[in-house]
Amino acid sequence: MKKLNINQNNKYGTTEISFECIKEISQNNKKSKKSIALFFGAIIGFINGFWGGGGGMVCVPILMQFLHLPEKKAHATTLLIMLPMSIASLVVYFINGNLPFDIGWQIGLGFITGGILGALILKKINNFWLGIVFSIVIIVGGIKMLI
Amino acid sequence: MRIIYFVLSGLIGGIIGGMGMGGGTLLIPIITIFLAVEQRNAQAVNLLVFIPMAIVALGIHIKNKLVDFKVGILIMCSGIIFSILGSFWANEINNNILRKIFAVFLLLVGVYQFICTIKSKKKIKDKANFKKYKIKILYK
Repeated sequence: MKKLNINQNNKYGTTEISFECIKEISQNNKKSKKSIALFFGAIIGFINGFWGGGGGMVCVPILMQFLHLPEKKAHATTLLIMLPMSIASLVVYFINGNLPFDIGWQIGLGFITGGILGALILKKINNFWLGIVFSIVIIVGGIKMLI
Repeated sequence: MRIIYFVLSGLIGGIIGGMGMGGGTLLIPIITIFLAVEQRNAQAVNLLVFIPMAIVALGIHIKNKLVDFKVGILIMCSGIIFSILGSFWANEINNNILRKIFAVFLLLVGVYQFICTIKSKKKIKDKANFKKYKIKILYK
């Protein structure tokens, strides 16, 4: 096992643990792998509950980086993680009367149709430009919502 | 007429979601910016439409043995608790503030996605160059 670069005696008197270090711990120690999984689970869960979405976009890179799953497995496992979390948060939204069923079914109809379409055309589309356009749209949307 | 807009926005989010890119991250800004749905309601709708899609996709993935239950269940344990806490907070906080925080989150995700996309392109290019290089050596 490589020596971990935990620097406890820097000038601020705080403990520095680099991302590389977390990666190494999760690779080498089963018990800490568990606690790392629980820790990131808390983050993903909070994001998914608080923003009602986007948990998957955080979960996939975490699974790949820190828990060393290959990309396809990370995507599949993300769904397993997100499903019960989404159901739990949905119940909370519903109890608080914030779930509008009238527009819900309309959007749902489009979303399911779109989902099937998306899965079908997945292989025929250029991933690079899709990623670029998607990220720019999201950034513009974020700026628009901030103003 | 509004029904068509709602179905259409769902369709766009669904296509991106079906490709595994975060359809919800796109759906929420679309319906809050263009269709004036309140932030909280948009989030609830996003959770609602995600569930049927996830069940179908998860079924297919389990059949193909791509799901890692060991890691998944572990993350799920703490995830469920914190998602309930998070959604309770989201239901109490002021709608406008929630919208602003979500906007910051969107910006971060967008920038991260942009960097990742460019990096992955570079990797593919490097691989292609490596292959060319290999072939050159072979011919020598």
